Amino acid sequence: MRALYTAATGMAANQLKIENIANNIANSSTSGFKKVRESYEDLVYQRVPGSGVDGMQIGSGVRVASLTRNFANGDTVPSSNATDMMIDGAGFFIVETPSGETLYTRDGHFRTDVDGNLTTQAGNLVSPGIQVPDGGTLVVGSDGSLSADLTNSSTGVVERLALGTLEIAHFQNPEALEAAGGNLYRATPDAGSVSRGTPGQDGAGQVLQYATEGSNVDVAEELVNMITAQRSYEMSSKVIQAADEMLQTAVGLKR
Amino acid sequence: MRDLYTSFTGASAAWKQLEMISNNVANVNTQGFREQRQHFELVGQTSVKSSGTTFSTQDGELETDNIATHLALRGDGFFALADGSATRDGSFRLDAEGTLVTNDGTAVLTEGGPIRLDPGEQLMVSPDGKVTGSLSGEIGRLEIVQLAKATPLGGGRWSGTATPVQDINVVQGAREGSNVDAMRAMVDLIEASRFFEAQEKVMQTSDEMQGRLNRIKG
Repeated sequence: MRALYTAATGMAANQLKIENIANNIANSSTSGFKKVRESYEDLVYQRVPGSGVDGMQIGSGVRVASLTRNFANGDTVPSSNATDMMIDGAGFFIVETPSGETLYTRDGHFRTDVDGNLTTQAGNLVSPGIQVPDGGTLVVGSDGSLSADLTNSSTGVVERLALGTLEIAHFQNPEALEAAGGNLYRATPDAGSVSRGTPGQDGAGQVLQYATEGSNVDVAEELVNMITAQRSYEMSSKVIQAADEMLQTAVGLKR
Repeated sequence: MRDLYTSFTGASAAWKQLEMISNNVANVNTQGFREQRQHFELVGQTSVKSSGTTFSTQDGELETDNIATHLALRGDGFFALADGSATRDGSFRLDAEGTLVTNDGTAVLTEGGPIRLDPGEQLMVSPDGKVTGSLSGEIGRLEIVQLAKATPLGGGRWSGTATPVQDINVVQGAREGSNVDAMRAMVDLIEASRFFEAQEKVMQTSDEMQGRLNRIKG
Protein backbone atom coordinates (compact mmCIF):
# COMPACT_ATOMS: atom_id res chain seq x y z
CA MET A 1 0.00 0.00 0.00
CA ARG A 2 3.02 2.26 0.50
CA ALA A 3 3.09 3.17 -3.19
CA LEU A 4 -0.35 4.76 -2.82
CA TYR A 5 0.60 6.92 0.17
CA THR A 6 3.92 7.89 -1.37
CA ALA A 7 2.19 9.08 -4.52
CA ALA A 8 -0.35 10.94 -2.39
CA THR A 9 2.46 12.96 -0.73
CA GLY A 10 3.59 13.91 -4.24
CA MET A 11 0.11 15.15 -5.08
CA ALA A 12 -0.13 17.12 -1.83
CA ALA A 13 3.27 18.76 -2.43
CA ASN A 14 2.23 19.89 -5.88
CA GLN A 15 -1.09 21.13 -4.58
CA LEU A 16 0.81 23.39 -2.19
CA LYS A 17 3.05 24.52 -5.04
CA ILE A 18 -0.02 25.60 -7.01
CA GLU A 19 -1.44 27.44 -3.97
CA ASN A 20 1.83 29.30 -3.55
CA ILE A 21 2.00 30.16 -7.27
CA ALA A 22 -1.55 31.51 -7.02
CA ASN A 23 -0.45 33.83 -4.22
CA ASN A 24 2.62 34.98 -6.15
CA ILE A 25 0.61 35.70 -9.29
CA ALA A 26 -2.12 37.47 -7.31
CA ASN A 27 0.60 39.77 -5.97
CA SER A 28 2.39 40.35 -9.27
CA SER A 29 1.52 44.04 -9.06
CA THR A 30 1.70 44.54 -5.30
CA SER A 31 4.27 47.21 -4.38
CA GLY A 32 7.31 45.72 -2.66
CA PHE A 33 5.96 42.15 -2.78
CA LYS A 34 8.58 39.41 -2.61
CA LYS A 35 7.89 36.10 -4.30
CA VAL A 36 7.90 32.90 -2.27
CA ARG A 37 9.45 29.62 -3.41
CA GLU A 38 9.02 26.18 -1.91
CA SER A 39 11.81 23.79 -0.98
CA TYR A 40 11.09 20.09 -0.87
CA GLU A 41 12.64 17.23 1.04
CA ASP A 42 12.34 13.50 0.63
CA LEU A 43 10.78 11.59 3.53
CA VAL A 44 12.39 8.72 5.43
CA TYR A 45 13.57 5.63 3.63
CA GLN A 46 12.49 2.21 4.85
CA ARG A 47 14.61 -0.87 4.60
CA VAL A 48 12.97 -3.69 2.72
CA PRO A 49 12.97 -6.76 5.00
CA GLY A 50 15.20 -9.60 3.85
CA SER A 51 17.13 -7.50 1.36
CA GLY A 52 20.55 -8.18 2.88
CA VAL A 53 23.14 -6.07 4.67
CA ASP A 54 23.48 -3.43 1.99
CA GLY A 55 19.73 -3.80 1.69
CA MET A 56 17.26 -2.05 -0.43
CA GLN A 57 15.67 1.08 0.91
CA ILE A 58 12.51 2.54 -0.46
CA GLY A 59 11.54 6.16 0.12
CA SER A 60 8.15 7.18 1.38
CA GLY A 61 7.53 10.39 -0.53
CA VAL A 62 8.03 14.09 -0.25
CA ARG A 63 7.24 16.99 2.05
CA VAL A 64 7.57 20.74 1.85
CA ALA A 65 10.68 21.68 3.81
CA SER A 66 10.26 25.42 3.73
CA LEU A 67 8.77 28.36 1.94
CA THR A 68 11.48 30.90 1.25
CA ARG A 69 10.92 34.49 0.32
CA ASN A 70 13.19 35.81 -2.40
CA PHE A 71 14.25 39.33 -1.42
CA ALA A 72 15.66 40.25 -4.81
CA ASN A 73 14.80 43.83 -5.79
CA GLY A 74 11.59 44.39 -7.71
CA ASP A 75 11.27 46.71 -10.71
CA THR A 76 11.59 50.45 -10.19
CA VAL A 77 8.19 51.97 -10.85
CA PRO A 78 8.43 55.74 -11.47
CA SER A 79 5.90 57.94 -9.78
CA SER A 80 5.17 61.66 -9.61
CA ASN A 81 4.48 61.56 -5.89
CA ALA A 82 7.04 63.21 -3.61
CA THR A 83 6.13 60.80 -0.79
CA ASP A 84 6.85 57.70 -2.90
CA MET A 85 10.23 56.12 -2.31
CA MET A 86 11.97 52.80 -2.61
CA ILE A 87 15.07 51.09 -1.26
CA ASP A 88 17.52 50.21 -4.00
CA GLY A 89 19.25 47.27 -2.34
CA ALA A 90 18.81 45.46 0.95
CA GLY A 91 16.90 46.73 3.99
CA PHE A 92 13.43 47.68 5.14
CA PHE A 93 11.53 50.84 6.00
CA ILE A 94 10.55 50.84 9.66
CA VAL A 95 6.94 51.63 10.54
CA GLU A 96 5.05 51.96 13.82
CA THR A 97 1.49 50.70 14.03
CA PRO A 98 -1.04 52.68 16.10
CA SER A 99 -0.73 49.97 18.77
CA GLY A 100 2.99 50.73 19.07
CA GLU A 101 4.32 47.65 17.34
CA THR A 102 7.38 48.06 15.11
CA LEU A 103 7.02 46.44 11.71
CA TYR A 104 9.08 46.47 8.55
CA THR A 105 8.16 47.01 4.92
CA ARG A 106 9.64 47.27 1.45
CA ASP A 107 6.62 49.18 0.21
CA GLY A 108 7.58 52.88 0.09
CA HIS A 109 4.27 54.07 -1.27
CA PHE A 110 3.84 56.60 1.56
CA ARG A 111 1.54 59.59 2.12
CA THR A 112 1.15 62.34 4.69
CA ASP A 113 -1.75 62.35 7.11
CA VAL A 114 -3.79 65.39 8.18
CA ASP A 115 -1.03 66.49 10.57
CA GLY A 116 1.65 66.15 7.90
CA ASN A 117 3.11 62.94 9.37
CA LEU A 118 4.72 60.58 6.87
CA THR A 119 2.70 57.34 6.99
CA THR A 120 2.05 54.21 4.95
CA GLN A 121 -1.16 53.96 2.98
CA ALA A 122 -2.74 52.16 5.94
CA GLY A 123 -1.77 55.02 8.26
CA ASN A 124 1.20 53.48 10.10
CA LEU A 125 3.86 56.04 11.01
CA VAL A 126 7.16 55.82 9.16
CA SER A 127 10.08 55.77 11.61
CA PRO A 128 11.56 58.07 12.91
CA GLY A 129 8.40 60.19 12.83
CA ILE A 130 8.76 62.74 10.06
CA GLN A 131 6.40 65.69 9.93
CA VAL A 132 6.19 67.54 6.63
CA PRO A 133 5.17 71.19 7.16
CA ASP A 134 2.03 72.45 5.45
CA GLY A 135 2.72 73.43 1.84
CA GLY A 136 6.19 71.87 1.90
CA THR A 137 7.45 69.43 -0.72
CA LEU A 138 9.32 66.45 0.63
CA VAL A 139 12.89 65.99 -0.63
CA VAL A 140 14.60 62.66 -0.02
CA GLY A 141 18.34 62.24 -0.43
CA SER A 142 19.83 58.89 -1.46
CA ASP A 143 21.38 58.71 2.04
CA GLY A 144 17.87 58.96 3.53
CA SER A 145 18.11 62.61 4.58
CA LEU A 146 14.65 64.15 4.58
CA SER A 147 13.93 67.82 4.07
CA ALA A 148 11.06 70.00 2.90
CA ASP A 149 11.13 72.74 0.28
CA LEU A 150 9.01 75.65 1.40
CA THR A 151 8.27 78.68 -0.73
CA ASN A 152 8.35 81.86 1.31
CA SER A 153 5.06 83.55 0.35
CA SER A 154 6.38 87.12 0.71
CA THR A 155 9.79 86.82 -0.96
CA GLY A 156 9.10 83.85 -3.30
CA VAL A 157 12.39 82.26 -2.26
CA VAL A 158 12.45 78.46 -1.80
CA GLU A 159 13.83 77.50 1.57
CA ARG A 160 14.97 74.00 2.47
CA LEU A 161 14.10 72.78 5.94
CA ALA A 162 15.86 69.70 7.29
CA LEU A 163 13.40 67.19 8.79
CA GLY A 164 15.56 64.23 9.82
CA THR A 165 16.98 61.03 8.41
CA LEU A 166 15.12 57.90 7.37
CA GLU A 167 16.14 54.75 9.16
CA ILE A 168 16.57 51.48 7.36
CA ALA A 169 16.42 48.16 9.16
CA HIS A 170 18.72 45.37 8.19
CA PHE A 171 18.39 41.70 9.12
CA GLN A 172 20.98 38.97 9.02
CA ASN A 173 18.39 36.50 7.77
CA PRO A 174 15.41 38.36 6.24
CA GLU A 175 14.00 35.08 4.88
CA ALA A 176 12.86 34.28 8.43
CA LEU A 177 10.76 37.43 8.81
CA GLU A 178 7.10 36.75 9.39
CA ALA A 179 4.71 38.23 6.84
CA ALA A 180 2.15 40.28 8.77
CA GLY A 181 -0.02 41.08 5.74
CA GLY A 182 -0.50 44.53 4.30
CA ASN A 183 3.06 44.40 2.88
CA LEU A 184 4.44 44.39 6.43
CA TYR A 185 6.91 42.04 8.06
CA ARG A 186 7.36 41.21 11.73
CA ALA A 187 10.78 40.46 13.27
CA THR A 188 11.33 36.91 14.55
CA PRO A 189 14.19 35.44 16.61
CA ASP A 190 15.33 33.46 13.56
CA ALA A 191 15.73 36.63 11.51
CA GLY A 192 18.58 37.66 13.78
CA SER A 193 19.17 40.97 15.46
CA VAL A 194 17.90 44.01 13.63
CA SER A 195 20.41 46.74 12.89
CA ARG A 196 18.98 50.18 12.26
CA GLY A 197 21.16 52.20 10.00
CA THR A 198 21.50 54.95 7.49
CA PRO A 199 20.64 54.14 3.87
CA GLY A 200 23.69 53.36 1.77
CA GLN A 201 25.78 52.23 4.73
CA ASP A 202 26.64 48.82 6.21
CA GLY A 203 25.10 46.90 3.33
CA ALA A 204 21.78 48.78 3.41
CA GLY A 205 20.42 50.01 0.10
CA GLN A 206 20.03 53.62 -0.98
CA VAL A 207 16.74 55.43 -1.05
CA LEU A 208 15.22 56.61 -4.34
CA GLN A 209 12.48 59.21 -4.36
CA TYR A 210 9.71 59.49 -6.97
CA ALA A 211 9.67 55.72 -7.43
CA THR A 212 8.18 52.70 -5.73
CA GLU A 213 9.40 49.15 -5.83
CA GLY A 214 7.26 46.84 -7.93
CA SER A 215 6.64 43.18 -7.14
CA ASN A 216 9.56 40.87 -7.96
CA VAL A 217 7.19 38.18 -9.25
CA ASP A 218 7.97 37.13 -12.80
CA VAL A 219 4.62 36.00 -14.17
CA ALA A 220 6.19 33.95 -16.97
CA GLU A 221 8.29 32.07 -14.43
CA GLU A 222 5.21 31.42 -12.30
CA LEU A 223 3.30 30.08 -15.27
CA VAL A 224 6.11 27.71 -16.18
CA ASN A 225 6.17 26.55 -12.55
CA MET A 226 2.43 26.07 -12.69
CA ILE A 227 2.77 23.78 -15.70
CA THR A 228 5.46 21.67 -14.00
CA ALA A 229 3.38 21.47 -10.80
CA GLN A 230 0.31 20.40 -12.73
CA ARG A 231 2.18 17.74 -14.69
CA SER A 232 3.93 16.41 -11.58
CA TYR A 233 0.55 16.23 -9.88
CA GLU A 234 -0.79 14.27 -12.84
CA MET A 235 2.17 11.90 -12.79
CA SER A 236 1.64 11.09 -9.13
CA SER A 237 -2.03 10.48 -9.81
CA LYS A 238 -1.05 8.06 -12.59
CA VAL A 239 1.08 6.16 -10.10
CA ILE A 240 -1.92 5.87 -7.81
CA GLN A 241 -3.95 4.60 -10.73
CA ALA A 242 -1.31 2.02 -11.63
CA ALA A 243 -1.05 0.88 -8.00
CA ASP A 244 -4.80 0.54 -7.85
CA GLU A 245 -4.87 -1.54 -11.03
CA MET A 246 -2.10 -3.80 -9.76
CA LEU A 247 -3.94 -4.33 -6.50
CA GLN A 248 -7.07 -5.16 -8.45
CA THR A 249 -5.09 -7.71 -10.49
CA ALA A 250 -3.73 -9.21 -7.28
CA VAL A 251 -7.18 -9.45 -5.77
CA GLY A 252 -8.41 -11.10 -8.96
CA LEU A 253 -5.90 -13.93 -8.48
CA LYS A 254 -8.13 -15.87 -6.15
CA ARG A 255 -10.82 -17.49 -8.19
CA MET B 1 4.12 -25.41 -7.72
CA ARG B 2 7.48 -23.83 -8.43
CA ASP B 3 5.96 -21.67 -11.17
CA LEU B 4 3.69 -20.16 -8.59
CA TYR B 5 6.59 -19.03 -6.39
CA THR B 6 8.76 -17.93 -9.30
CA SER B 7 6.06 -15.65 -10.53
CA PHE B 8 5.40 -14.52 -7.00
CA THR B 9 8.97 -13.19 -6.69
CA GLY B 10 8.45 -11.50 -10.07
CA ALA B 11 5.21 -9.88 -8.96
CA SER B 12 6.79 -8.76 -5.72
CA ALA B 13 9.73 -7.19 -7.61
CA ALA B 14 7.23 -5.37 -9.81
CA TRP B 15 5.43 -4.05 -6.73
CA LYS B 16 8.71 -2.81 -5.26
CA GLN B 17 9.44 -1.20 -8.59
CA LEU B 18 6.11 0.60 -8.33
CA GLU B 19 6.90 1.80 -4.81
CA MET B 20 10.20 3.14 -6.03
CA ILE B 21 8.66 4.89 -9.04
CA SER B 22 6.08 6.34 -6.68
CA ASN B 23 8.84 7.86 -4.54
CA ASN B 24 10.78 9.09 -7.56
CA VAL B 25 7.72 10.72 -9.08
CA ALA B 26 6.69 12.31 -5.76
CA ASN B 27 10.16 13.87 -5.66
CA VAL B 28 10.39 15.30 -9.19
CA ASN B 29 10.56 18.78 -7.65
CA THR B 30 12.74 17.97 -4.62
CA GLN B 31 16.01 19.90 -4.65
CA GLY B 32 19.06 17.64 -4.70
CA PHE B 33 16.97 14.45 -4.94
CA ARG B 34 18.64 11.42 -6.49
CA GLU B 35 16.57 9.01 -8.53
CA GLN B 36 16.55 5.44 -7.24
CA ARG B 37 16.67 2.56 -9.68
CA GLN B 38 16.05 -1.12 -9.08
CA HIS B 39 18.10 -3.87 -10.67
CA PHE B 40 16.72 -7.26 -11.51
CA GLU B 41 18.19 -10.69 -11.86
CA LEU B 42 16.67 -13.50 -13.83
CA VAL B 43 14.92 -16.33 -11.98
CA GLY B 44 14.43 -19.38 -14.17
CA GLN B 45 13.38 -18.45 -17.67
CA THR B 46 10.25 -16.51 -17.06
CA SER B 47 10.69 -14.30 -14.06
CA VAL B 48 12.97 -11.95 -12.18
CA LYS B 49 13.79 -10.97 -8.66
CA SER B 50 15.13 -7.75 -7.28
CA SER B 51 18.89 -7.62 -6.91
CA GLY B 52 19.23 -4.28 -5.20
CA THR B 53 18.96 -0.62 -6.01
CA THR B 54 21.28 2.22 -6.93
CA PHE B 55 20.91 5.98 -6.92
CA SER B 56 21.49 7.91 -10.11
CA THR B 57 24.47 10.25 -9.80
CA GLN B 58 23.50 12.34 -12.77
CA ASP B 59 23.41 16.10 -12.09
CA GLY B 60 19.94 17.56 -11.65
CA GLU B 61 19.00 20.67 -13.58
CA LEU B 62 20.07 24.04 -12.18
CA GLU B 63 17.28 26.14 -10.67
CA THR B 64 18.79 29.62 -10.78
CA ASP B 65 17.29 32.09 -8.31
CA ASN B 66 20.29 34.38 -7.59
CA ILE B 67 19.93 33.89 -3.83
CA ALA B 68 23.52 34.11 -2.58
CA THR B 69 23.12 31.36 0.05
CA HIS B 70 21.83 28.83 -2.49
CA LEU B 71 24.52 26.53 -3.83
CA ALA B 72 24.45 23.76 -6.43
CA LEU B 73 27.06 21.08 -6.92
CA ARG B 74 28.04 19.89 -10.36
CA GLY B 75 29.53 16.44 -10.69
CA ASP B 76 30.00 13.94 -7.88
CA GLY B 77 29.99 14.76 -4.20
CA PHE B 78 27.89 16.04 -1.33
CA PHE B 79 28.04 19.08 0.97
CA ALA B 80 29.42 17.96 4.34
CA LEU B 81 27.27 19.03 7.31
CA ALA B 82 28.05 19.59 10.99
CA ASP B 83 26.01 16.59 12.16
CA GLY B 84 28.15 14.17 10.14
CA SER B 85 25.63 13.67 7.35
CA ALA B 86 25.88 15.09 3.85
CA THR B 87 23.44 16.58 1.37
CA ARG B 88 23.06 17.51 -2.29
CA ASP B 89 20.31 20.00 -1.51
CA GLY B 90 21.93 23.45 -1.54
CA SER B 91 18.88 25.36 -0.22
CA PHE B 92 21.00 26.97 2.45
CA ARG B 93 20.25 30.09 4.48
CA LEU B 94 21.81 32.15 7.24
CA ASP B 95 20.57 31.59 10.76
CA ALA B 96 20.13 34.26 13.45
CA GLU B 97 23.87 34.20 14.22
CA GLY B 98 24.87 34.49 10.57
CA THR B 99 25.93 30.86 10.15
CA LEU B 100 25.28 29.18 6.81
CA VAL B 101 22.83 26.36 7.57
CA THR B 102 20.45 23.95 5.87
CA ASN B 103 16.67 24.36 5.99
CA ASP B 104 16.54 22.61 9.37
CA GLY B 105 19.44 24.58 10.83
CA THR B 106 22.45 22.26 10.50
CA ALA B 107 25.69 24.11 9.72
CA VAL B 108 27.36 23.67 6.33
CA LEU B 109 31.07 22.96 6.65
CA THR B 110 34.21 24.25 5.08
CA GLU B 111 37.42 22.31 5.58
CA GLY B 112 37.94 24.51 8.67
CA GLY B 113 34.45 24.35 10.17
CA PRO B 114 31.18 26.29 9.81
CA ILE B 115 30.78 29.48 7.78
CA ARG B 116 29.87 32.53 9.85
CA LEU B 117 29.14 35.96 8.42
CA ASP B 118 28.95 39.32 10.16
CA PRO B 119 25.72 41.33 9.93
CA GLY B 120 25.31 42.88 6.49
CA GLU B 121 28.07 40.77 5.02
CA GLN B 122 27.74 39.23 1.57
CA LEU B 123 28.57 35.59 0.94
CA MET B 124 30.70 34.78 -2.09
CA VAL B 125 31.46 31.26 -3.26
CA SER B 126 33.79 30.72 -6.19
CA PRO B 127 33.25 27.81 -8.62
CA ASP B 128 36.12 25.88 -7.01
CA GLY B 129 34.42 26.11 -3.60
CA LYS B 130 36.34 28.95 -2.00
CA VAL B 131 34.10 30.81 0.46
CA THR B 132 34.69 34.52 0.96
CA GLY B 133 32.86 37.11 3.06
CA SER B 134 32.66 40.68 1.78
CA LEU B 135 33.98 41.97 5.14
CA SER B 136 35.83 39.10 6.79
CA GLY B 137 37.70 37.98 3.66
CA GLU B 138 38.50 34.37 2.88
CA ILE B 139 36.70 31.93 5.18
CA GLY B 140 37.77 28.58 3.73
CA ARG B 141 37.02 25.99 1.12
CA LEU B 142 33.71 24.12 1.09
CA GLU B 143 34.03 20.57 2.31
CA ILE B 144 32.68 18.38 -0.43
CA VAL B 145 32.71 14.64 0.21
CA GLN B 146 32.25 11.49 -1.76
CA LEU B 147 30.13 8.87 0.02
CA ALA B 148 30.89 5.18 -0.17
CA LYS B 149 27.75 3.08 0.48
CA ALA B 150 25.60 6.21 0.42
CA THR B 151 22.40 5.61 2.36
CA PRO B 152 19.52 8.07 2.16
CA LEU B 153 18.26 9.27 5.55
CA GLY B 154 15.34 11.34 4.24
CA GLY B 155 15.16 15.11 4.46
CA GLY B 156 17.72 15.30 1.65
CA ARG B 157 20.38 13.83 3.95
CA TRP B 158 22.78 11.00 3.26
CA SER B 159 25.14 8.97 5.37
CA GLY B 160 28.08 6.86 4.31
CA THR B 161 31.84 6.63 4.51
CA ALA B 162 33.01 10.08 3.53
CA THR B 163 36.19 10.89 1.61
CA PRO B 164 36.95 14.48 0.58
CA VAL B 165 36.61 15.48 -3.06
CA GLN B 166 39.43 17.64 -4.44
CA ASP B 167 37.87 18.65 -7.72
CA ILE B 168 34.99 20.90 -6.70
CA ASN B 169 32.56 22.53 -9.07
CA VAL B 170 29.93 24.60 -7.31
CA VAL B 171 27.45 27.19 -8.60
CA GLN B 172 26.30 30.05 -6.39
CA GLY B 173 22.82 31.52 -6.69
CA ALA B 174 21.22 28.30 -7.85
CA ARG B 175 19.98 25.02 -6.48
CA GLU B 176 20.20 21.59 -8.00
CA GLY B 177 16.80 20.28 -9.03
CA SER B 178 15.74 16.66 -8.76
CA ASN B 179 17.49 14.32 -11.19
CA VAL B 180 14.39 12.18 -11.69
CA ASP B 181 13.76 11.43 -15.35
CA ALA B 182 9.97 11.82 -15.45
CA MET B 183 9.60 10.36 -18.93
CA ARG B 184 11.51 7.25 -17.97
CA ALA B 185 9.51 6.96 -14.74
CA MET B 186 6.26 6.86 -16.70
CA VAL B 187 7.63 4.20 -19.07
CA ASP B 188 8.85 2.19 -16.06
CA LEU B 189 5.41 2.53 -14.56
CA ILE B 190 3.75 0.99 -17.61
CA GLU B 191 6.35 -1.74 -17.72
CA ALA B 192 5.91 -2.58 -14.03
CA SER B 193 2.15 -2.85 -14.24
CA ARG B 194 2.26 -4.98 -17.40
CA PHE B 195 4.92 -7.23 -15.93
CA PHE B 196 2.82 -7.58 -12.79
CA GLU B 197 -0.15 -8.64 -14.92
CA ALA B 198 1.97 -11.17 -16.79
CA GLN B 199 3.14 -12.73 -13.50
CA GLU B 200 -0.46 -12.88 -12.39
CA LYS B 201 -1.36 -14.79 -15.59
CA VAL B 202 1.41 -17.31 -14.89
CA MET B 203 0.13 -17.75 -11.37
CA GLN B 204 -3.41 -18.21 -12.63
CA THR B 205 -2.35 -20.78 -15.25
CA SER B 206 -0.28 -22.64 -12.69
CA ASP B 207 -3.25 -22.63 -10.35
CA GLU B 208 -5.57 -23.97 -13.06
CA MET B 209 -3.15 -26.74 -13.99
CA GLN B 210 -2.87 -27.73 -10.37
CA GLY B 211 -6.65 -27.74 -10.13
CA ARG B 212 -6.96 -29.93 -13.21
CA LEU B 213 -4.35 -32.30 -11.87
CA ASN B 214 -6.31 -32.63 -8.66
CA ARG B 215 -9.50 -33.42 -10.61
CA ILE B 216 -7.93 -36.26 -12.64
CA LYS B 217 -8.02 -38.37 -9.56
CA GLY B 218 -11.58 -37.07 -9.00
